[in-house]
Amino acid sequence: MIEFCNVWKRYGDKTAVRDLSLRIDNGTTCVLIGPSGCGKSTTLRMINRLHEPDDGYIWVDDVALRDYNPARLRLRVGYVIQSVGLLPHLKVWQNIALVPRLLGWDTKRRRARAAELLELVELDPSEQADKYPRQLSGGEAQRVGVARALAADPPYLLMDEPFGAVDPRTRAMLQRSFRDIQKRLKKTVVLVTHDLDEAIYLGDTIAIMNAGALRQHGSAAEILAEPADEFVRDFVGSDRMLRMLRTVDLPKLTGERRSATAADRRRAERGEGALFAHGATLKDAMASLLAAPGERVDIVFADGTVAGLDFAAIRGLITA
Amino acid sequence: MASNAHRARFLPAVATTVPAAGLLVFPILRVRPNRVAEGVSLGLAQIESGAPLVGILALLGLSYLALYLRRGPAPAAMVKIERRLPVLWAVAITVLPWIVVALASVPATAAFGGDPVHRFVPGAGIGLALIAALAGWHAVLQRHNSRRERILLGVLLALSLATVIAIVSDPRMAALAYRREYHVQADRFRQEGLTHLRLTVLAVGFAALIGLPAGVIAYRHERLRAAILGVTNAVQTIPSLALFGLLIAPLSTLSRAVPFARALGISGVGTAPALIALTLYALLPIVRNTVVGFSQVPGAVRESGVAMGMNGRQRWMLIEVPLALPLVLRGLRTAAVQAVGTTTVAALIGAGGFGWFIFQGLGQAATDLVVLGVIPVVLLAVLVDRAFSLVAHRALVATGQGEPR
Repeated sequence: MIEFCNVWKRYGDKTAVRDLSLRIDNGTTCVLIGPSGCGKSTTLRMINRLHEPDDGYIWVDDVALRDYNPARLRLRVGYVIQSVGLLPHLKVWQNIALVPRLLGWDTKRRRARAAELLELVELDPSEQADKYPRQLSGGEAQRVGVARALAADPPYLLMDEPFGAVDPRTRAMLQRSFRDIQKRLKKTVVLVTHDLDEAIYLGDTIAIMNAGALRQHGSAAEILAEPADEFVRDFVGSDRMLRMLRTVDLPKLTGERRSATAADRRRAERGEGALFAHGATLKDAMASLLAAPGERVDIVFADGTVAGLDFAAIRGLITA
Repeated sequence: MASNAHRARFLPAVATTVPAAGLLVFPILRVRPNRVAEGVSLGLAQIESGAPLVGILALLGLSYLALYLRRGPAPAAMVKIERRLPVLWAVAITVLPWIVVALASVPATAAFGGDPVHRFVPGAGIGLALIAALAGWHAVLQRHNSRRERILLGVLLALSLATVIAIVSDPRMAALAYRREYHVQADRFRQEGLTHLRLTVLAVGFAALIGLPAGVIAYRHERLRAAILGVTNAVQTIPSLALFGLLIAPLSTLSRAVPFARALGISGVGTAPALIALTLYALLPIVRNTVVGFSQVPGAVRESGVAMGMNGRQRWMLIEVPLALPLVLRGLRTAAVQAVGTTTVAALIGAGGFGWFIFQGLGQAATDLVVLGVIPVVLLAVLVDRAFSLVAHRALVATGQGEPR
């Protein structure tokens, strides 16, 4: 658990963070979002003591942050930044195994761990482990950055616009695989972004900040359904109900289902009025429904069942 | 647009045609009855033997072959030969002019009947050939970049140079002016050579001992940076001769006043001022490159080191030193090559080195003696440059910043 209690941070006469109180539960992803200069990165960087608060307390695991030795703390807190910051003179596997190296693991164990993590981030160890960072594409480098942050299995993960520097297609792929990884690993993640869709897709909770102050903290559905004030309402935009679509995961749908036939699967493969539930949200179902000739779209679940959705059902799901 | 490949093929053709034509038009030899006499220049027409002509014709033949092959697409069987021709040209252009000299020198010096002071020097035609040979090798080395080819070319270059040395040191070439000069003072040559090396190595060593820490301090403390770089810059603007001169007075005072300093061999002239001045000169490239080397380590990489929990020592060893190393080594290389040259001037204040021959030669109006001093300095500078570039490349590969060739 990470808890901010009345934290202030000032630079000269500029207040970067203003009386921030925020609690992030273990195993959840909290996304910090807001316009440029709202203090979200400063907040993030106070957690691994790259910045120190001027006032207030930050607690990690019920230990006051200022009682942690910074270097020891950082070994327990993985950190991913937009520019990745891979060491250009070390091979991919050596970059990933850097924190284990600082912890004194032997070479064999480090190599094995690096290979394991490369697989986790969907890179082929036999192909990528011995490359140098300059030989990687932007998306691959970001994956390696995530792998490096996870190397020593830290309970906490801080991510500062981790998918900001890649093209939209790659970003979508990275977001999807990060969500899969997080589902399995259940780290406590704090992620900074300025992309609301990313926040909605990745965050269990979203903390919206403006001018150093926290304006609203809650699940995406809560924030989109009931913006706390004028700023948040404006920030989430008039299309917030469309954004709501992405907060509903298709595999979580309940209700009446029938068994899937081979024909259903074929239609889902071709995208003809049907789609697979795995990794998809209500937004995908909506897109499919708009493109389909009929009034319904069929969702094919992993357990071999099918449920139909129409516009009324979708409206029901997001206003529930 | 002249492509690189095109230029690489065209250059060797020029590199053979120009010197071959030069050898036909310009003097091949200048024969002199003694060290200071003007002597007579001998072109091809003045040499009675036809032998040199054969060598020149061989060169010309090669260049015409080159021009022939350059016209239109080469026949299939010729393609393979054509690929290798530039290398052949480079070897030929290095060796053949010296064969021409050798062939020409025998009849030209026969008239002196073994007189021990008569001598000959290569003429302008040979000078042209030397320049052409440099251009030829440059083109060839640029064109062939694989590891195997580079090794092969290295061996060929070494063999060519060995052949030239074998020709020049043949007993029949004893009248070559530089050999005459060397012959008179072979011991001195060896001794001054060692002095030159010792001065250079010590100066660069001291400069590294002072300059590397100074560079690191300058990089870490922004306030000191301007001061440290300012001082090293200022030293560099003083002409070397003036710096040597400036040191004479304080050092001789020191030597007179402090017996211990005198016991150490410190005096106003000789090794002490030379070493001090050379060390000061070598400082700037070392300090500057150290500062730049450490400054250019990307901020994101540094920060990710901090954020991963590295302490200062770990960041220094794992991030800053390896990433600064290439530029630091380049600074040492510049300092070393420069020191080889500057050490020459140290002879003026009695420190010795190859410069001794140069200044003796200038004083006696004996150009041959000057050249005897210049040749080893040039060779040494090239050697030091190559050696450092090899070491730097190794360091780059070892720290993952370069591809092995």
